[in-house]
Amino acid sequence: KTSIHGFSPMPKKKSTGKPKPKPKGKAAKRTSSSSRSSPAKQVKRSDLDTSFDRWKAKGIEDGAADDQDTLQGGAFIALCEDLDIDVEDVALLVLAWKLQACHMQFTREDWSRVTTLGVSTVSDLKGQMDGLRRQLEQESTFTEVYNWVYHFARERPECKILDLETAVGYWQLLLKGRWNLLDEWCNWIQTEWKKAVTADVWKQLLVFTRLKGGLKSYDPCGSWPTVVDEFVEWHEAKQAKDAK
Amino acid sequence: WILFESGFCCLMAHPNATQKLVLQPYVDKKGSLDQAGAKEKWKTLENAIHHIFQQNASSLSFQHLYTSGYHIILHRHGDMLYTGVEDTIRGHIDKERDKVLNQADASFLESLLQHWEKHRTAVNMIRDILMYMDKNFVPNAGKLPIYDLGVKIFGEHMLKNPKVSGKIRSLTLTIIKAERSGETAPQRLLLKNLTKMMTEVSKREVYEPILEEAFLDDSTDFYKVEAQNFFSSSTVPEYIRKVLKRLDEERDRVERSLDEGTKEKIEDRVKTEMIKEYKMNLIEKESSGCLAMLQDWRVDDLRLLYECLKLINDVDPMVTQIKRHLLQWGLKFVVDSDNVKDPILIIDGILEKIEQYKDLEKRAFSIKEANNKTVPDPTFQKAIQKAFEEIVNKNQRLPEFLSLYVDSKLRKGKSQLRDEEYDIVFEKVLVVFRYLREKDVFEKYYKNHLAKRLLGAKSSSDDAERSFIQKLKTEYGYNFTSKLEGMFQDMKVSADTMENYKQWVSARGKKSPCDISVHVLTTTYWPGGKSPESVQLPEEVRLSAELFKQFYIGSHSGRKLTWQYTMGTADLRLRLPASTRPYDIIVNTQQMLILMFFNDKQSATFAEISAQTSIVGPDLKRSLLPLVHQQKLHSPILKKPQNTTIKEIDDHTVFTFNEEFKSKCMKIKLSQVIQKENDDEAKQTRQKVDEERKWQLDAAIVRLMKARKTEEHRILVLELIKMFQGRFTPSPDDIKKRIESLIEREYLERSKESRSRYNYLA
Repeated sequence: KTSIHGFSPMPKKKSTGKPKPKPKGKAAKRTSSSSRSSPAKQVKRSDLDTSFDRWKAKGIEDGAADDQDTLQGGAFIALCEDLDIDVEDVALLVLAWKLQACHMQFTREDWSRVTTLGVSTVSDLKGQMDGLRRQLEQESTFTEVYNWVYHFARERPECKILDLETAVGYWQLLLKGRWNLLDEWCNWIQTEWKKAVTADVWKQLLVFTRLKGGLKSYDPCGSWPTVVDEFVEWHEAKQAKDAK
Repeated sequence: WILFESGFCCLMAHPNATQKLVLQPYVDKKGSLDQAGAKEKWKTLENAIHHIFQQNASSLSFQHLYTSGYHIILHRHGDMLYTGVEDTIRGHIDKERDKVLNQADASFLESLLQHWEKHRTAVNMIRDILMYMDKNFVPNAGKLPIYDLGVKIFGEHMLKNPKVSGKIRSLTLTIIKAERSGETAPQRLLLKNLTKMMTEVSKREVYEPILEEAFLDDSTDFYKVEAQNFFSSSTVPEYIRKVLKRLDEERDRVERSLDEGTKEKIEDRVKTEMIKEYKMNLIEKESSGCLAMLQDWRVDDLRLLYECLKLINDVDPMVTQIKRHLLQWGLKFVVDSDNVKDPILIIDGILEKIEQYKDLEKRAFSIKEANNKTVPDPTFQKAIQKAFEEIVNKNQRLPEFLSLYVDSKLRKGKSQLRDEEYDIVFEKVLVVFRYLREKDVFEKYYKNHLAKRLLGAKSSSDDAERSFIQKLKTEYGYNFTSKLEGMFQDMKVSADTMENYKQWVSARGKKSPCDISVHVLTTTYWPGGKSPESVQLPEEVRLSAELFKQFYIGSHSGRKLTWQYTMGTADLRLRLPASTRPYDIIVNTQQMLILMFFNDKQSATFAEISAQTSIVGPDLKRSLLPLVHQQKLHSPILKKPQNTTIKEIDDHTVFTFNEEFKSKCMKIKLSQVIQKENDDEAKQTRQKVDEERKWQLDAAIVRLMKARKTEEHRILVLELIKMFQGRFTPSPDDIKKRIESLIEREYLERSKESRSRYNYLA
C-alpha cells in the first residue's frame, strides 16, 4: 500500500553539487518575511520555529528540494514522529486545514498560523492532536476539512485536477466509517471511470454520501455530476443482478 | 259546456247562467245536510256512476247529479264523497280486469286498449258531474283531481296487476320478436297505442317497469345471440353492415311503436352487445379483420370499421393496430441492409408511405363536423405522426439520405423536374424533415451537397434552390439558413469578381497561362474542405492561380485566400498519337492532377499517385474510379489490373495509361455523382457534428447564465432543450457534461445556498 501522503522519497530535484549553507545564526523569524533581523537583535527563536527547521532539514535529507522554505515529503514523517501521530492520521489533515496549507507542503507562513491553536511549543501541539480529531465530529467542520483536502492533496499547483489514485486514498482515509458505499465507490471509480477528479466532483461526493434516504431518493435528473449518475446506475444494475 | 256523446239531455243549465228558463237548484229546505242525508245523495251518485261505466248514461239527469254533488260538498261531506268515488271506480276496475284476463291472447291487448278508452270516457263524465268537488274540495284537501284519480286507479289495479302486466309483457315481446325475424308485418299502431296508454298513466311506474325494461332485457338477449351467429358466419365488413342495419331498425321501431325515451337505451344495448363485446374480435379477426384490411389496403372496409368503433367511442385499439402495422414496416425498411445502399430508394419509400397514409386518413378516418367541414380523427393523426417520427429517426443516416434525395432532384440530369413539380416535391420533403430529430446533421450534409452543386454549376434551377431554402427559413428562422444564403451570395459576387479580373488582365496586357475561373468563397459559409496544404500543381495552373491571387489581394487588401484543391474542376485536352482528333475531358481538380501526372509516366502505383498529388486513400479511390471505368461512350482513360476489384485496390495496385483510349464523342464529361459517404466518413461527419453541438451548447449555457446570473439546474436543462428544438435534441446528460466542463473552466459555480442552482461567474 503506497503511502497516501506521497511520502515515498521524491525524485531528486536538480541541486547544486555542494550542499547549500544553512542560514547562519538564529535570526528571529516571526513572520514569513525572509528578511533576517540584524545580528544585534538576537531574540530567542521559538520552539516551533526550530522544530520547523529541523523537520525541513529532515525532508531535504530525504530528497526534497531545498530551494523553498517548506516542509515536504520526509519532513512530514519527522513532524508526525514528534507529534506522536501516525503519518496517516486525519489529525494531520485537520492541522493542514487550520494552517491553510496547500499542495502537500507546509510553508513557513502556513506554519506560523499554528499559534491560532493556542500553542507555543511542539509538545503543546502534541496535546492538541486529540482535540483536532474531535473537531471532525462536527459536520460543518468536517465538510470544510474535507473540501480543503482537495487543495492540499494536489501536489503541483499548476495541475488543477486531482489524480484518481490520490483521490481514492484520501477518500478512504476521510470517509471510512462514514459511508457504507465507500469501498464500492472506490472500486468502481478505479475500474470503470478511471478519470481524474475535479473539484466539483470532490465536493459533490461528500454531499452525495449524506443524501438522506440513500440511493432510493437519488434523482438522476438532478444536478449531480455525471460520474455520480453513472455510479448509481452501475450500482443499481449490480443490485438487480445480485438479486437474481 | 261539454256535450256528452252518450246522449245526455241537451237542456242543461249552469247554475249561474242567465237564461230564460230558470230552474232553481234543488235545495233542501232545511238548509243543512247531515250524515245520513249525504249518504243518501251519495247513493244516487253511486248509482249514476255505475250507469256511466255501463255506458248507460242517457237516462241520467245531469243537473240532478251535479246538484247532489254540490250539496254534499257544500255541507262538508266531501271526504265521504271522494272516498266513495274512489271505491266505486276501483271496484269497477277490478271487475273489468277479470273480463280482460279472460280474453284470449290474440285479442288481449286490443281488449285492454278498448277498456282503456271506455274508462277514460267514463271518468271524464264522472268528472263533469262532480265538477264542483273537483274545483272546490279537491284542491283544499290536497287530493287528486277526479280524472287523474281515475287514471291512477286504472294503472294501479289494471295495468300494474301482476297477471295483466305479465301478459302485456309477454305478448309485446312476442310481437317484437316476430317483427325482428321478419315473420309478420309490424304491428306498430297497436304498440304505439299501448305505449301511449302506459305513458299517460305513468311513464316511470308503468311504462318503464312493465314494457321498457322487458323490451330492453329481451333485446339484449336477442342481440347477444344474433351477434354470435353473425360474427361466426360473416366477414367483418358484412358483420358491421348488419349491425348498422339492426341499429336503424331498432331506431325505427322505437320511433313508431314505443316511447321516444327508449331510443337511446335500446341503441346503447345493441351497441354494447354487438360492437363493444366484439371490439377486439373485429379488429383481430383473421382474413377480414383490421390487419387483413391493412394488408390488402381495403380503405372502404377500414372506414366501416372506424365508423363502427366510433359509435362506441373507442377507436384506440384499431388505431394502435394500424400504428403497429406501420411501425413494423417502417422500422425494418429504413435499416434494411439492401435498402441502405440506395438512399434515394429509402426516401422514395418513406414519401410514398406518407402519401398512402394521408390518403387513408382522408378517406377512412375523417369526421364530419357540424359546419360540414371534415376534420381528421385526432387519435389516428397523432398515432400515425408518432409512428413516422419513430421510423424517420430510426436510421441515424437518414438526414444524409434526405439531403441526397433533394440533391438528386436539384441536379441537372434525368431526375430533373419541371418548375411546377418542385413545389410539390419540396413540400413532401419538408414533411419528412419536420420529423427529423437531428436537423443539424441534415444542414451539414445539405451544405456539402449544395456546395458541390453550386461549384460544379450542376443546379438545374436556381429558383428551385432558393425556393427550398426559403421554405426552410419560413419554418426554422433566419439563423438556420443564413449560411446557405451566404453561399448563393458568394456565387454572385464571384461572377462579378471574374468580370473585374478579366478586365484587369487585359488592362495589364498580361495573359493567364491557362483560362481559369475562380469562385471566391467566404470561409464560414461553406463546408470545411479537407484540402491539403499544398499540392504540386502543373506549372500553367500554378501561374494562373498566382495571377488571380495577385489581382484579388490587390483589390481586397487584408484578406487571405486559400486554394481549395478538392472543389474545383478542370477541362483537359487529350491528344493521343493514335488518333487525329483531340478529346476534351472534364474532370475535377484532383483527377486533373492524376492525369497530368501520367503525362510523364506510363504507369504508376496507387502510392506513387498519392504521393504526387497529395490525395489520400478513399479520396484518391473516388477520383480514380471514373477514370478506370468502362463507360458506354468511351473506354477507360486509365487501366487497372484486370483481376483487381475496386475494393481490392491498395497502395501497390498499378495503374496504366490507356494508349488505346477511344471515345464516341469529342467532349467527355466524367460523371460526378455524389455518393453517400461510406461508414468511416459518416462516422467522421458525426464526430464533427457532435463537436459543434458541444460548442453550441456551451455558448448557449454561458449566454443564458450571463443574462440570468443564477438559475436552477432543472430550468436550465428545460430551457436548453427548448432552445435547440429545431436543430437537435440534447439529452439532459449531455447538458450536464457541458455544465461540469463550464464549472471546471470557472464560467459557472454551484450556488452555496442550494446545490441544484448555478451562479454565473463573471
